[in-house]
Amino acid sequence: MDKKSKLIKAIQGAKVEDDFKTELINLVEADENFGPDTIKKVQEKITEHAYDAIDEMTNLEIEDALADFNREIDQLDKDISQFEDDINQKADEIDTNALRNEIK
Amino acid sequence: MLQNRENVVQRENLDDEQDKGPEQNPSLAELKDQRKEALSGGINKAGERVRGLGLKIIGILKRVGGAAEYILVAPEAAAGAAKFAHERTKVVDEKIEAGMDKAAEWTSEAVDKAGEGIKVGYESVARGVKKGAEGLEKGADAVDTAMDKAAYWTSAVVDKGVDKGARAITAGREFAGEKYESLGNWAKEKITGFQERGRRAVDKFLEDRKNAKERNQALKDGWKEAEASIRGEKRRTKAEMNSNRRHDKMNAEMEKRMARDEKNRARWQELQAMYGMSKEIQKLGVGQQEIMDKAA
Repeated sequence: MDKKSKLIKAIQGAKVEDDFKTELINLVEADENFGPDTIKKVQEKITEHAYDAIDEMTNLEIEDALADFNREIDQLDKDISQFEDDINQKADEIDTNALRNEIK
Repeated sequence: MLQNRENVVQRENLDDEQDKGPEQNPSLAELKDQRKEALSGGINKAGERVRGLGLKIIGILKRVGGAAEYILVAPEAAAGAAKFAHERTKVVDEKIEAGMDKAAEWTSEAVDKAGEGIKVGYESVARGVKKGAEGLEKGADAVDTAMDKAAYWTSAVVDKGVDKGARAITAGREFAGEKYESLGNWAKEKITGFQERGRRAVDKFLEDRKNAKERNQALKDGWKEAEASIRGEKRRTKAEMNSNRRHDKMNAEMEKRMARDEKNRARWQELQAMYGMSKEIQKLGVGQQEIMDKAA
């Protein structure tokens, strides 16, 4: 088995996304002058893809943190609305009693 | 709430797409762009929500802010009451003077009448004098009565009119002022609590994001180191070995995190698979540090 076939076999055997495998195999097969540069290109692609996977994990983490943040803000919003109701009720009571005192 | 729902829906959509299988998935690069856009929008909206909450609190406080006027007005009301009392006292003084003038007039009239009696005759003199004396006494009584009445009236006005007026003016407002002051303190405590909670939420999010970014960099560094290590391209210095140990520790922590998170676990496994593939390819005899440098 020549190096090109070995490389394609190695790509096919990897447990990565099928689209990505196809992309790598197409890259290998399209290169008429198979050699060290071809393998170098494949490795560059793998590294780019690895970095994309790492970025995706990071984004998921940030998204989770944002969801936590939004939950906290939702609760805060509810509590502030309750506070608004409470303060208005208390102020109404004061105004009513103040008016009552002035009328006496 | 709406933004949160949007995030959840967006996230569910992304998750649904992932669940459909690799054929229907957008590429990782597309997914990354989508996620980045959604995150960027989400973070901006989160900032707007926090600002919105601040404005909401300011809106609520307008009611208590209005109460501050009561607190300011209360001393003015007291000053107003004092002024009122002073003016009433002045009126009373004038009335006392008027009473005294009247008494003097009566006295003068009595003397005149006595004079007339002398003119009428000696017999009348005594009577006239007597009457004059009586007139004087009456005049004096009238003055006393007038003064007593005036004094009583003054006291009544001051006690009743002024005090009552002052009480009426100040009571309502002082009552409202005190109550609003207490309400303001209560509101201040509540708002301080809200501020702290909001600040904690923002700090936690920023801290989580910072940690995620640090892990991102550590993973990329780890990947770079691992690739270089596969190649055996260079001898490791002590610092680099220490750095590797740090990366190993970070990787171990990441693995634990990944085990808890289904979605990240899939990415992590893919990353491991790519690492395995890279190793296999390396066996074909090619690999340069510059690959990593270019990718970075």
